Amino acid sequence: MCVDTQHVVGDDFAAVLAAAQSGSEEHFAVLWRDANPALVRYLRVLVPDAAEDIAAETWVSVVRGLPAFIGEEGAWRAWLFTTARRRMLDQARHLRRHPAEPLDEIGVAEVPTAPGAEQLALDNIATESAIALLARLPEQQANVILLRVVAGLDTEVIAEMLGTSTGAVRVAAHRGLRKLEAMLTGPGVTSRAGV
Amino acid sequence: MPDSQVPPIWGPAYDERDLEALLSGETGSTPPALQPVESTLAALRGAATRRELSDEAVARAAFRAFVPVSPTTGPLPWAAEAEPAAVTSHTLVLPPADHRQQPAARHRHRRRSGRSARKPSIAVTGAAVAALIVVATVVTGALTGSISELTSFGRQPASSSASARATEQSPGSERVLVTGAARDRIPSPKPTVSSPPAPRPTPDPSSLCGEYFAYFGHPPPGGREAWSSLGGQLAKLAGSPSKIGVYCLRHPYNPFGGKGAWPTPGTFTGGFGAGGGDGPGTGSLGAGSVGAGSQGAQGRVATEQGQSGDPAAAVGRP
Repeated sequence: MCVDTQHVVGDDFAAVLAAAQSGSEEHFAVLWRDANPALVRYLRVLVPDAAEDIAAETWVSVVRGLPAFIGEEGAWRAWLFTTARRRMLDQARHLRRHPAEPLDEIGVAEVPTAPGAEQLALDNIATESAIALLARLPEQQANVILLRVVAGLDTEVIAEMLGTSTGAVRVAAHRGLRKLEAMLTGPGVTSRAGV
Repeated sequence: MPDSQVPPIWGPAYDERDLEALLSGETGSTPPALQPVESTLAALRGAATRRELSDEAVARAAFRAFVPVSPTTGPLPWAAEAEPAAVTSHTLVLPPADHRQQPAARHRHRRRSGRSARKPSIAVTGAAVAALIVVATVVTGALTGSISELTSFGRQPASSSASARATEQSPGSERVLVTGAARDRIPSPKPTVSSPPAPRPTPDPSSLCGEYFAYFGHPPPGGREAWSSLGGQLAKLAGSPSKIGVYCLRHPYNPFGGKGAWPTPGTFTGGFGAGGGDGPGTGSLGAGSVGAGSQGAQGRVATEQGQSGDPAAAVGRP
């Protein structure tokens, strides 16, 4: 699992997209492996309880509109995360209308385990910690930072997605970074620089 | 003041450009205060975990369900050099969707304009055809006969009541307007039985022509034989049957004259003598009878003329 979340496809994006639109499942899998980790991380920060479900619904919507999509990689990612955001809002609206009671918690002995789970947890602890930190930020600031860092979108595209100005997007991102820096350098937290 | 004695600058050790560089992923010049943030953002950009890639089968299933799978899928772009062909095929597939709608819109527009332009032409053509029919009808006089016949039913116009005048002229008639089929039902007096045969005056050529050509406008039932005999008389007067028209042109018929123009059974007294038919016989005008070979109706005509009650007796009688 050495797939990076950033620009795996790169310059070949047009060819891969065309093949996927023509019905090539393998090329669609390339697109999926490129974008799904970032999508899941974005959703895990904003909707931790339903991140995988919303990601799956997002991909269903994307697949249905895939033959008609026209654009480069940036537009592709913008479309993907815009669709995810809409599905996320639909999920939140549905939970408000139909509140669900949590099931009984599963015992520790019943938790499914996989070979190398401990190692996997160690490998991903930095990512999990980062997601946990961002989840503590205000939603708008975390949203902007994730779209900039994880999705790799420009300020203008994010402003269009969120229906706000580029200045507001930039201010929200900077405030989020300052707050993140304050959390990391606060009491009880030892930074790598030792400040 | 030496530089070592300069007081330290209080406040954040970074600015907006440093934050933008962090967001853009630029590394190398990160201020020390932002290095923990840089580490966190780098972790967010880190490699995908197994958990994040565990739903690939679900995504593939959705892809197979909603996108028609092509039978031949080319190799991955980094494994082969077929990118331009794929891009070209993608580019060429999309435009037909747009072009498919344009002919329909153009077709609708053309159909609308065609309808609007055709309406006046259709109206003008129809009016012209109707006017042509009316003019042709008036010129040829096709409606004249039927119209005059309709108008003469309740009254007695001079031109169409020739038979009525003939009835009035005959002695002992009931002075009843007799037209059409009623002519057969109303019994006419039998002069052959009750009165001696009166000498018939020599028919006027113009009245003969009138009676001859009136047959075309008012053919009486059973009057074909009388018309034939009349034609024989006119042919005799004119010299040949083909000269009847010229003869009648020289003796134009005056419908307002005193003579009746329509033959009644009593007025047809002439015949062609023996041999009958249309051939010139021995009988003279007013004295002959319909010859043998004729049908029963001809025998009735001979009976009415007072020659004999036996049709066979009239055969060959001069």
